[in-house]
Amino acid sequence: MIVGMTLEIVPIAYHINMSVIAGIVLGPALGFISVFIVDLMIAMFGHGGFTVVGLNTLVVGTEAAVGFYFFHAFLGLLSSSKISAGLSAALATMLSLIISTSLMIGIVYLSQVNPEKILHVDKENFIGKVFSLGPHRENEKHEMQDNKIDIETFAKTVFFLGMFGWILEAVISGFVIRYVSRVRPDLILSEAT
Amino acid sequence: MDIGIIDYFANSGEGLLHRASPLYKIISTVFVLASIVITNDFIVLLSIYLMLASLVILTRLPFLKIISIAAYPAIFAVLFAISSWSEDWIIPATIILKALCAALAMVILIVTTPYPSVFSSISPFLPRVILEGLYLTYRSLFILLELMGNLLRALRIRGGLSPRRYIKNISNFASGIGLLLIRGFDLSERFYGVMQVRGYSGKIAEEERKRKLGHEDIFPIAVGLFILSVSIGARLEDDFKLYGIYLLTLSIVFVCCSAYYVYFHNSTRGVFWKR
Amino acid sequence: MEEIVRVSNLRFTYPDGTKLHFHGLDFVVHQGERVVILGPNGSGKSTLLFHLIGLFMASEGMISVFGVDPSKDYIKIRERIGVLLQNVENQIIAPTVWDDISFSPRNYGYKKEDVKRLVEDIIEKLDISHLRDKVPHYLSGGEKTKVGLAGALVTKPDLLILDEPFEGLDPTCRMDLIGLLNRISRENETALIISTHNIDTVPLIANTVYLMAMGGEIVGRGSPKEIFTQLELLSKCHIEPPVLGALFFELKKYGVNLDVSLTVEEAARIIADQIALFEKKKSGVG
Repeated sequence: MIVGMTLEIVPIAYHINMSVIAGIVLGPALGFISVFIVDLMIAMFGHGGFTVVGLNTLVVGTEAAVGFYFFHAFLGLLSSSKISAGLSAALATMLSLIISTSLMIGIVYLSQVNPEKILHVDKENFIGKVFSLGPHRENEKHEMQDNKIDIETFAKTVFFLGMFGWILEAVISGFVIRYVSRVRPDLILSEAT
Repeated sequence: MDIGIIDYFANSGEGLLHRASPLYKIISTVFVLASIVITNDFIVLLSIYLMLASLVILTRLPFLKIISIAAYPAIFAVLFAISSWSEDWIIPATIILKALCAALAMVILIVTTPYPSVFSSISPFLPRVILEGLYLTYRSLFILLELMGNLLRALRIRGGLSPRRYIKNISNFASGIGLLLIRGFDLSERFYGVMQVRGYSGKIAEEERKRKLGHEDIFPIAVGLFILSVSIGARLEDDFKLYGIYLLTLSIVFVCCSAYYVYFHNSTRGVFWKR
Repeated sequence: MEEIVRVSNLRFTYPDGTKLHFHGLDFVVHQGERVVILGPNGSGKSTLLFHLIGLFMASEGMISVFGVDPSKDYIKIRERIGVLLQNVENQIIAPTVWDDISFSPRNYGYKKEDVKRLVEDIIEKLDISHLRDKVPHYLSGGEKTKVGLAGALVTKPDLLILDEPFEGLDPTCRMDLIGLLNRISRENETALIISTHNIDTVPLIANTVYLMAMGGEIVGRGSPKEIFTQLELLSKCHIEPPVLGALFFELKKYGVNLDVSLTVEEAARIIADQIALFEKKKSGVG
């Protein structure tokens, strides 16, 4: 996965993830752990996102785990076809990426919920004051006010930009798994047994 | 993503921060990240960014290279910024600046500290399997990167990547990735075999040797504490905000002093400065 | 001398179904012996070594290393065996040189002070103190070989197994390595088992040579001189004799029958003696 991230397919760092491939080869549990290790490492490689390693792991790990199950489901349906492994991987990748993107949007939406409103925290409390999201001062020019992300715009942007990535990743994952199924079929089929 | 160059900087740099203990640099980075999370003020964030930039200068590494590596998360922050757009530019700018500051703080840590040292320092907080996974991933990464380089070269030489043959190119490229995957698996099986032969029982790398606090350790801690206290002060005290412009000026002074120290004062003139 | 390794009539099947049968002569190694295994590509040299270190399990036959079957009880003998694989890159596991050299003693449960002493000792011996804190992927091929060797020797093993250790080394590094291995074997009575293609290095290091043909058949065993004078046997194994050996065989065709020598020094002495004898005869006749 890390090596794949060094291969910029399109400028502005459009790169393949290979999380679904990791899920297919390692299985859902080990795939999840490997995603955590990779997320931690790439956060330390300057890829950013160190404060959201947990959330990244949740999203990408879900992709890997769900991808495994989709792959075997499609493999079962397409088993008679010559190109079953590659096609199953491509379809599984596409669906997994849609699900993980939706999960990410859901998380972003949830992150805007003000915990003070949920927990009824005393605003004068020192720790609460430091970490609470709401505004403290009036007439403040430089500070983010009680501002929310327009989730609809965010979702549209992410889905639009992501679509190209999903197609590319699905195609590449399909070819990769097709190659692996010819050379080392035990790598992708052993997890199913 | 410049894994190789980051690793090279960390292992061969000669700046002030390179000599500091990994543990204290990690603590300092945690302070800075906490301050970035706490603060929502644009001026404070800009001041933090400039202070971090002055630390980059002190590392004696190529300044623009480091800043560009740390600018990568801005791409994703722009998505959030677009979604938060109202008539005021401050909010999107703050979102992007937060991402830049956090990334720069991490990049300063990793270009001045070899990865094994970072892993050793955080080992008390990680399960053994994750830690060992980090060490082995780090070790095998460079082997696989070299393999990948050879693979791409072979594809180019043998006509596997040709202009206007998009499907064929993707197929060949993906086959190369598949080959890399299989080689990676073989490598891991070989590593496992060797580990068994050499008596592996849970220790790949030695724990970081603790040493006494030195003057080069105090510097990052002091910077981290200063940034954190500024953020907390800005968050709590209304009056603090009035001095935002002075804070910004102070940061600019830090940048100039760092540049002066590295370029003019020190006899080595900075090993990487001019590259 | 105590017998430490014996392999007899071993059968093994690779994952792709290819079968190998180590038959013919038994493979035997004694304490302090320096054994070289010669054979063409695909004869099973590396496979034999992997059986000795317990990485492969035979389906049939007998294998004993320090009295145990390594595929079953390698844990009992692993501290007595050091290994240097063909691609040393695959053997360097830890992130720094010091970590890698100290890998085995740390995992065997040695005390910290003992680990430090052993590692410092081997670092000094191999003259790699300057590499102590380096990361392995920045080292040259020769340096990686030294680090791998240090990792294999740190616990002062009784048996050192080396798979193609001279590959990729320049002549100077190769001679340094040969000198080092000879010294270690002499000082510590460490047995060496080396597989190599490099014919010319064999006389410099081995006191016993095993010759393997395709399919795993062990066709010859003896000192380097005994083996390299058997041209038919060498030909069966697709092995050319060492350059010096070939020279003496060619000289025989011209009626010059000299005792075959495999080292430059000995060859020079033999030729010089022969010339001196010729000069004496000539002056005697004249």
